[in-house]
Amino acid sequence: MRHLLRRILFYLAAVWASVTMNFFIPRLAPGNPVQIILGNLEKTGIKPSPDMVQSLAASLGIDTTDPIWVQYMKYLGDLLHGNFGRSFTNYPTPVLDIIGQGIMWTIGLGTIAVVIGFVLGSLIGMIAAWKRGTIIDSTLSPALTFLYAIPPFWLALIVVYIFGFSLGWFPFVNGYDIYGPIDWSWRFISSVIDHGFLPALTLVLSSLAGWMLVMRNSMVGVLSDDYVLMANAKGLKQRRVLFTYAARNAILPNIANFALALGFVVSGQVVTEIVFSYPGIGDALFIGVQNHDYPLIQAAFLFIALGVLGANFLADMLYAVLDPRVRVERSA
Amino acid sequence: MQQSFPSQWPPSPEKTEGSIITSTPELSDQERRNEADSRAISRMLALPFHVRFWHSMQAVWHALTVNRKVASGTAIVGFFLVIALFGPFFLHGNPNLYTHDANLPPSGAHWLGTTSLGQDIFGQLILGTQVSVLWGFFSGILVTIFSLVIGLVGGYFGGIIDEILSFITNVFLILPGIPLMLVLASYVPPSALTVSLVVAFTSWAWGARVLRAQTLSLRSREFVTAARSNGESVWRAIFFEILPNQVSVVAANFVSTMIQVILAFATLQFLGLGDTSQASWGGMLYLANSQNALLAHQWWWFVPPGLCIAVLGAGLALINFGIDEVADPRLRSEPKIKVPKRKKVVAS
Amino acid sequence: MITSVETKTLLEVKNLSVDYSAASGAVHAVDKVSFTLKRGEILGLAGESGCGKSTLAYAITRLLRPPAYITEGEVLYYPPEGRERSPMISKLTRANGYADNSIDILQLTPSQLRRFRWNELSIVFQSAMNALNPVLSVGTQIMDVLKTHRPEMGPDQRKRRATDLLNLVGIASDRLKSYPHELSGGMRQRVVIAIALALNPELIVMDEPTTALDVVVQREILELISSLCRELSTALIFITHDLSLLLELADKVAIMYAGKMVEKATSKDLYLRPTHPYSYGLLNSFPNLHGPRRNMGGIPGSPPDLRAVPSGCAFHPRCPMAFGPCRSVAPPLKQARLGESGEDAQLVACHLYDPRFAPGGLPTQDQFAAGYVSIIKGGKTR
Repeated sequence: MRHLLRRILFYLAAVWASVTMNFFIPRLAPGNPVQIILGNLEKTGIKPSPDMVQSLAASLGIDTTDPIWVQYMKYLGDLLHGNFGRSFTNYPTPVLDIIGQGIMWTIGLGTIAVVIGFVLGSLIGMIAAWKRGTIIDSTLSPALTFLYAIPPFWLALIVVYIFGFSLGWFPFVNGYDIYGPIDWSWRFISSVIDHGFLPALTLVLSSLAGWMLVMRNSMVGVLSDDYVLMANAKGLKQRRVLFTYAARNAILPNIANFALALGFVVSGQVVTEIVFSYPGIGDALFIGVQNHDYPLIQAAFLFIALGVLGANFLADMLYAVLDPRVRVERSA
Repeated sequence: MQQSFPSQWPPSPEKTEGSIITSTPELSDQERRNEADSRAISRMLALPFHVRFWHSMQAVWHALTVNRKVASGTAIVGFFLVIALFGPFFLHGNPNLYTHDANLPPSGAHWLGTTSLGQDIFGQLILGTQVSVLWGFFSGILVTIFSLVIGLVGGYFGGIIDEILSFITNVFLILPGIPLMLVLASYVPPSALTVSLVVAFTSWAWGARVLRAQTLSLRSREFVTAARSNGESVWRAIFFEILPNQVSVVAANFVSTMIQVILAFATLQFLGLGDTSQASWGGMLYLANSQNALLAHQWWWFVPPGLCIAVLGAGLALINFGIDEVADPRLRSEPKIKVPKRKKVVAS
Repeated sequence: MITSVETKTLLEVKNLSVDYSAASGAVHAVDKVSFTLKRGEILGLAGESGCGKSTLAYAITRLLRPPAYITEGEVLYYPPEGRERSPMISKLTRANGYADNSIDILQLTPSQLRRFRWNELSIVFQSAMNALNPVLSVGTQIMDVLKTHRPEMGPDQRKRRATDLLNLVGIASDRLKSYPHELSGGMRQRVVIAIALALNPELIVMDEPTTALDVVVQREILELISSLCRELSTALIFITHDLSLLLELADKVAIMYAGKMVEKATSKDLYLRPTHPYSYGLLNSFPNLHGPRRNMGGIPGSPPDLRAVPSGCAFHPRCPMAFGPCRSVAPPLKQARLGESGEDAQLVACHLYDPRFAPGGLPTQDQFAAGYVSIIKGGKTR
């Protein structure tokens, strides 16, 4: 129980840290931020109206003489009220609306890709360790090492090229058919699946090697442990030894890593979304960055960070369920 | 690749912290190994510092060449290093210049064809190697120094300092790197240096955690206590007792970081957030993508830079696995020993 | 032909040899070891570290892992009459070709072996903490075997049996749901013993089950083992480096050195009149609580590196009684005293008992004592 509380406290603190970082980063940028931003906006063809200039100055705290901690309090207050400001590029749409849509797409794509990648990768890793020294392992390991090092964005390009352009099997832009209906019709749903296939494939492929390698190494260690020997000595069926005795223990580091990997997974997803113009939150962040739409950038980053923290928290809890040794109170 | 799963087992530091400390009279295997290590290390303590450091370096060299996997990794990385350092001397002209020979496929004059702006792709690739490898190296060193300092200090002092540093480390660890990089890069004018700094700022956390765990375990061993009871100052203890024994961990960490850094670097440049006037692998891909090279089936443009990143990354990963196998002998692929023919095997 | 009914032989090991293939060649970890074990008999295997006793046990149970290989020998198991056995075992004995209904464990196919295991032969490993799966409750680990080998048992029956087993070894029933790390060292060892007893095997192999425990718990566990084996007439092969334990617990004791068996006797015989100089040295390596004060004994030197075993008798460099043939001829294991034969005869592998080499009669305990005193004082080994 104490362990649980400690973790909760940590996550709350991490949330606070992200929020605070979000507040300070723009204020630390060199130069006069308003001028820079206005200049950038004009470069992208947006003519700032006096309203926008006013709200921009307000959001950056330029227009007040309040001390910084008062601004900070106001900022926190705004956040808690769900006021994230208005997007510059889509003025006066509230940023929250834009983000709200993006979140659904990101979570949908991400969850599927992560689950498939994790399950598939762990299985392959388990088999590679079980068949260690055979031809299966000796081909799998180098192949996956290479896959591990391929940059996700380049993999996305290749996937787009092969499956999108050359073979034409799947669409590679957008999350759904923008010319079709947007409702719960089969046409829409099938277009969602269609459009999601290549991004998901990219994500699964680029993360596969990571899961597999950790699982393999962990499994090799576990297979030489005494309790696996004992399980064999007990005359248990091979499948039970492999799954309940070996894999159940070997997967623990992967789950511990799962939590940490989520941060990386989300990062990888951001890039993939960008390449495929998939309407997720990562894409929104990028569009914001390109257009110097600072409210959008800040809000998108904050939500991404919060999402990662939340998923980490869940993974932590899952780990505690699976490894009974963690549930007992830590000493010293 | 952004998913820099540590290719490491023993379990992550967090797990060992949360594990149960109950006092049982029996020693776990890990503890027995620790004791044996401590004795070995205490014996080494008798040697002067530079000898110990040299031994560590030798161990690293041995690890880099001990088996086929690792040796090929070292060869790959070495190859890229050589090109990065000496390649540009063999170029004719400046591949960054725009010419009129645009969009040419590979030929004798242009081994990999030209870009839509008439730039020689092969030449750009070589220049790009220099930029990516050397700046990647620079970032990697920055990150390693930073994570070393934080990890060592936190692990060594413990207490409130450690709590604070740990917390900061964990927060940075959990924050997703690419989004943070995107945000930072949007506020900061683009150049190779700033990109390096941004990448370093977001990538130090993993190494810090690993090194902290290592320091914690080493700190409690007898030889450190012995050194301190001899009156060695705290800083001497950190840098001359603990650090030399961590060289292999630091090396493995450095290699992991390099992979992360090179990929992050390329990613930022691919997204157009770096300096696009200078050739670099990521930058080339950015240009290729924005000039619709995919549409035009100009595979000679967008395949080689990514391939280079992948091959270099794979080389580094191979080295990393090799270091892992040295550290944990269970992972080594057993050399095939022939059972002597004259004694037949009855059963196994 | 000896039939299993007459002498109730349970296990017969013939010329078992195990090699480790190292880079420098084959290392003979176990060298042509033979012995028999009767039903319900407790055999102790003793020796210093590295003498091959654990390897021998693992070989018998076929749990060796590469680079260890069994290079010759047979391990014959005589299933006792009147036990309910799986039809598979009856099939095996009939098909085996042996007139006396034995099964060569080394020849079983993997699936036959899997079904043989635990039913007839179970093992207690040295470190219970490592032998138990950390993520499963101890109850599950007991019921595991029941589920696999007794498919006719329902979940309630299994639970009851598991509870009974825990009670048998002195653990409360509510511990069924506990995880291994929640139990103390002694309790974990008891759990492992309970698992070993789950299917009422004929033979249990215990590899240093009490080494990692403190002496008080050690005594409790030993008493438990002893009473259970007597009660259930389970045969036991008990491996340890602590000879003093065996003298109390075991019926017969076998001493191993450098992969060979050098003496085999009843524990009483071994205690009163050890025949091999090595056994004498071992017995006198720990102090007695009673009796006159004497200088601590011990055997100077250390066991040989198995990659470079001395020629002839492996013990000769450390032996106070070594003479001519010891350097060149390896002594076989046979009766110490001519005329003694049968199950309880004392066997020894030493040239001192070979009338061809040492016609002057058998060595006495005093001669052993004097020999050791001189080499200890002399501070050298030959």
